[in-house]
Amino acid sequence: MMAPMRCEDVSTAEFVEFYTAQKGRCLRAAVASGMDPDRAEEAVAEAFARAWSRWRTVRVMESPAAWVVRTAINQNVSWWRQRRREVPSESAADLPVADGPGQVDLVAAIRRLPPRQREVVVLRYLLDLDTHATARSMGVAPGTVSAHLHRALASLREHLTISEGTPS
Amino acid sequence: MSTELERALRNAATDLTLDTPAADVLARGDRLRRSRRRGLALGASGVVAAAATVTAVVGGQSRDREPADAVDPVDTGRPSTIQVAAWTGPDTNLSGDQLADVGATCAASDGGPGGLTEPGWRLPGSIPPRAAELRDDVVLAYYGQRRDYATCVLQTTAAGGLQVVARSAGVEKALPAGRHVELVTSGAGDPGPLGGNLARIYAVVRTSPDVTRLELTAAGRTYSSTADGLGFFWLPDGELTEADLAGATVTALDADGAVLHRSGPGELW
Repeated sequence: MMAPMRCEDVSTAEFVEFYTAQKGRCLRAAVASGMDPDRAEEAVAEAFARAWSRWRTVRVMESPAAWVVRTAINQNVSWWRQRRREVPSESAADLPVADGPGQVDLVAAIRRLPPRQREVVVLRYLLDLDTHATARSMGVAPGTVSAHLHRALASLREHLTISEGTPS
Repeated sequence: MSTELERALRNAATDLTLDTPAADVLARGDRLRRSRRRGLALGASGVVAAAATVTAVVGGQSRDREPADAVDPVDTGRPSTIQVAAWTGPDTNLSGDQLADVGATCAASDGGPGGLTEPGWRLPGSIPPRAAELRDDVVLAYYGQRRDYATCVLQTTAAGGLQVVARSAGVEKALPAGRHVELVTSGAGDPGPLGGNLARIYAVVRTSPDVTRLELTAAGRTYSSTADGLGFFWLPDGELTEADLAGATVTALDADGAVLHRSGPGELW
C-alpha cells in the first residue's frame, strides 16, 4: 500500500516541478505560435492538466514542454473551428502582443512568420530544443530545420532592422 | 547579430506569466483521467452510436471536438451540414496503459499474408505509436520509425479487451512536390451479403507539412479531420455504401483554409 503512494507522491512532485519550471516558457511559446494571449493562459493550463492526466506517457517524451504547447495550440485550432472558423488561427498573428520594454515587437514578428518557420523558432528558442530534437518534434530532417531557421532568422533580422530604423 | 537576435528570442515576452496554481492543474488532470477511464469502459461495453455522438463519451478529449452536426464553414448557400469526425492531432485519448495494450495486442496478432516481410510490421509493441486514438469502439494507431510504418486497427470487445481488425505496414514514400495527401490504409466493417451501408469505416492518411486539415466528401456529405503529417477518419455508421466511398474526394487545406489539393471523384489519393 505504501509503495504506490510514494510513487504517486514522487510523480506529483515531479510534475509540479515540471509545471513550475516550464509554465512561463510554454505560455510564451503558445503566444509566439499565434495564440491570442487572452486565451493562451487557459489553453496552456488545460494542456498542462492533460499532461498530468497522462503523465506516465508525457514524462518520457523527448520534450514534454513541446507536447504541452502543441496540445494547447491544437485546442485553440479546434476552438476556432467550433466558431465556424470566423477568424482563422493564422490571423492571430495580427493580434496585439505586449512586448517588454526594449524587446521591440519580437513576438509579434515571430507570429507573422510562415507556420513552419514559426514552429522552428518556437521550438529552438522559446522551448530551447536543439536542432535534432526540433527535427524529431516536427517530423522533419535536421537539415529542414536548419533551412527554416535560416529563413526565419533572416526575416526576423530584417524586421528588427526595419523596426529599429523606423522612427516611432 | 544572430547571437544578439537569438538571445532576444530566448528572452522574448518574459512579462507573460501563467498564474494558474499547480493544485488547479493537478485537479483538472485528475478529472480528465477519471473521465477518460469511464469513456473507455463505456466503449468496451458495446455502446454503439454515431462517431460524432461518441465524442462526448471519450471524456477528456470531448472539448476538443466538434458537435455532431457543425454548420458548413464554407458559405455555399446550401443547407448541407458537416458530420465531423475530427482527429485531435498529436494528442491522444488513450492512457499510457491503454497505448501499451494496443501495442501488445497488435504485436501479438497473426501476421497474415503480405505483412510479415515489411520491417514496419514489427514496430507495434516495440515503440510507442506516433498517433493513436479511440473513437466509438475503434482504435486507430500509426507507428513510424525512420521511414518504416505500420498501422493497426483494433476494436474494443464486450469483455473489455481489444482485438485487431486490420493491420498494414510499409515504407513511407516521400510525397512528390505538389502532392499533399496519400492514403495509407482504409477499411470498414463488412456490410454483409446483402450489401448496404457500411459501419466502422476508417481511413489513415499521410499529409505534407503544409496541410492542417483534410476533408473527405462522399455522398454529398463532408467529413473533416485535423492533419499533422497524418489524418485519421472515423466515418459514422450506416451512412455510406462502398460505392459512395469509391467516389469519395479528399481536399487538403492549409492553416489559412486555402485548398492545396482536391482529388477528383473516384481518383486514387
